[in-house]
Amino acid sequence: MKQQYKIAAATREQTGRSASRRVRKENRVPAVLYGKHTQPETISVDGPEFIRLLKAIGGSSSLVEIERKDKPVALSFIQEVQRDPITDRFLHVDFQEVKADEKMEINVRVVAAGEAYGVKTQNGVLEMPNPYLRIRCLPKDLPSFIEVDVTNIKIGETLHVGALKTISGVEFRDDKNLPVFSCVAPVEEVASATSGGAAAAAPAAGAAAAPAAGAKPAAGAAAPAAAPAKK
Amino acid sequence: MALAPSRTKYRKVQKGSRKGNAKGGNTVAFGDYALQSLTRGNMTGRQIEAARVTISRHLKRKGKLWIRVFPHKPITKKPAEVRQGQGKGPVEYYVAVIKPGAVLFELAGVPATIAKEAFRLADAKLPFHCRFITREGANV
Repeated sequence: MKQQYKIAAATREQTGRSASRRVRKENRVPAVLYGKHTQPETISVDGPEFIRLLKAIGGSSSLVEIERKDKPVALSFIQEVQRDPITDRFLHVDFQEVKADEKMEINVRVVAAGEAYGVKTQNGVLEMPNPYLRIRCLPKDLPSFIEVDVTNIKIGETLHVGALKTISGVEFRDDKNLPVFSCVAPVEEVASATSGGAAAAAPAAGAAAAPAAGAKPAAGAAAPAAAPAKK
Repeated sequence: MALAPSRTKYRKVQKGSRKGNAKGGNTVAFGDYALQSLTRGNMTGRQIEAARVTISRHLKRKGKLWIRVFPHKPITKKPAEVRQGQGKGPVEYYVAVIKPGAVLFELAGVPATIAKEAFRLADAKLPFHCRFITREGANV
């Protein structure tokens, strides 16, 4: 059984924007705990404690034990964390309760193991179109990350879900043709951006300056120029 | 060449509103690192191109760059020395309306230090306060 983390939670009586704001003002994070066999419960967790928990988890998929007053410990995982995109403040957390003896579905982060051949020798870029994969497993079989060996990927090649090594007790739920890693050639800077860019900018500037110099003559000059073009 | 729509449904648009924060396109979606705007304003096609050239020159053909904004909005301007009235002026250029939180560029396939410097140089070309952000769980 992999390491389980713990966090203390308090029951949240009131819901809604105002109540949530009051909770956040007390340096706590509003949260919800739900599961297949339980009723959803609004809770709140201590802000600094939650940050410590996230740092300890470090992006991996892990199980968290939620300790509440007068209630049994709830085994869960973090389903979603909402953050303010500008201030990075934690707004809300979703915990999904699971049973130790029941299979669950969870998104697990994909990690590249090794350096791709295309990156090392062909100056390519390793792309990860889907950083998370959906898996189904028992809580005891939950992997922290899905490590994928990318050393043999060359430029133009793609590794799909179907080609991944099987992990004991873990079932991939995504489509077999879903790309996980692909190695692509770096997009070269267009030559005109360096030399032609200045040349291209010049006519644009000229075109902008023409109407500025005199509105009516420029408009008159533009009309005959445009007329033959239509033919 | 500056970015501009190839075809528009309506030639000219009203000024519109820039209030509020970016509701979408405010997270790192494609790459590992991103440049996020912290203030609001218009980003012209030329500014996008200038920032793109700056980033790609600094990367020296390494990595992959995503441009997350596109100048959809036409901006008109009356010619010089023209009296007021006689209708709205011709379209001069196109802008992307940027609100706080909008992700402007994303990068992948380069070390964080190089991405940070590339974005710092690009930021100097833009009329916004920007910050460097990373994807959650990205190896920094």
